[in-house]
Amino acid sequence: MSLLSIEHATKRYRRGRLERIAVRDVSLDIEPGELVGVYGPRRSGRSTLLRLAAGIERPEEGSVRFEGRDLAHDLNRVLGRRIGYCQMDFLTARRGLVVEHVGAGLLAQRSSPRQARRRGEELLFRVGAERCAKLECDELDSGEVARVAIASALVTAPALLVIDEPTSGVDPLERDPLLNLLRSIANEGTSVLMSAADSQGLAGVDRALAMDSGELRGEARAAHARVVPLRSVGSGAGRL
Amino acid sequence: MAVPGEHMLEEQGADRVDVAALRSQVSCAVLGLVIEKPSHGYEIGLRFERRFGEFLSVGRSAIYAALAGLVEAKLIEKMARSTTGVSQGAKPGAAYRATARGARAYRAWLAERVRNDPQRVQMLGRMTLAGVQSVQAALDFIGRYEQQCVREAQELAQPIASSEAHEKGVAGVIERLLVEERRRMIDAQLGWITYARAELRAAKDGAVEVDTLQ
Repeated sequence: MSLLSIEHATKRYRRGRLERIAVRDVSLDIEPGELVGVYGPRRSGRSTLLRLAAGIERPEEGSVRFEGRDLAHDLNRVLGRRIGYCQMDFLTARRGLVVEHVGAGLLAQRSSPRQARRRGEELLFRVGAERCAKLECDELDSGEVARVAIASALVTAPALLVIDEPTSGVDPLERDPLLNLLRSIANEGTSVLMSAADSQGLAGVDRALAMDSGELRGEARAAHARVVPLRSVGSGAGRL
Repeated sequence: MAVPGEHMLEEQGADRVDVAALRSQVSCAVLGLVIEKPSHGYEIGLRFERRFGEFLSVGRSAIYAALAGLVEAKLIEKMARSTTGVSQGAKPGAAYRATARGARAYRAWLAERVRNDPQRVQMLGRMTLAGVQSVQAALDFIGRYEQQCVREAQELAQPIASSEAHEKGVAGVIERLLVEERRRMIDAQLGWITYARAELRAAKDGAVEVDTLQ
């Protein structure tokens, strides 16, 4: 069983009498520990595909199953727990310290503020953004925003991390280190599904797919299952 | 009387002739290895295998033939016979080293490969026209082309992650810059693909509007 299985998913948006198809009959499997990149130009449907994969959007046709569960029925038990969705736009609009923001996901799971803060500090160190811990969210630059968003999404130790254009707006010299971070997260067992608007975002991924007009091209299934180490993200000193 | 710049023109002309001598990829690869480090034929064969074996599958005889051709073209020369520095298993013989002419020819050859070759693009375009005679076939061709681009982007090593890129100095920087250049070329190709699709779709269906949201 794949970690994530999207089967013939179609997503439409309606505005008045006009119907727009964002994702058209897409199938995609993601295995544990896989790093999958989806390239597509603007309006290709890549972001909608990622939102479908995270359960934020529901398909009109087809299904999205995560660990065997249909996200249409079990979303609340999965999103923010087993699936981490990186929200970078949301982050810059927030007030409060970065470390508090990163740990916030644990408060909803009844961790104490102290535990949440400690975990937030660990994850900021893991993603190479420890210097941002005591900054306000709106003080971060684009690269830091991406790293902090990744840390926030990892706080509940998800099995799948979904991130839309992680390198968008990031300083060119910062992009490869950021992609290396995502590679290392996948190597530690957390699958990563990300989108890319340029070729750099695909470097080193296990599977590179292309999206155009809502259609996905490339290998919908991994050729070989990856061997995933029995080690969770942030559990050790495995920092870049 | 010498005309100003004549010497340079002569040199460039000689480079063109020498580049013409670098007809095969094996010869170019062998010349690069000799420039990198003067070596005996046996050792060059071993280094060739390690460095290029993944891309160029050739026997030792082809390496020796390439060496002979490069000597004849005066791009490399034999050094005095010596047994020092001969790898285990090798017969002692003359080591090869690059001539200044060889080093210049190699740089010229590299520059030719790095720049875009309009003739090659034209040839590819003509080959494409021969096999693609409908809009749908053209879209299919473009889809395949996109897959090639995406695959190449996937395989482009991230310089910071690769062990070789950790080497200090200009070599590591140049390696990263070359990868970056290739990436930008792929981005240009992907941009062209997006444009070409829009053109082809407009040509195909003025009637049926295909619209998508991100």
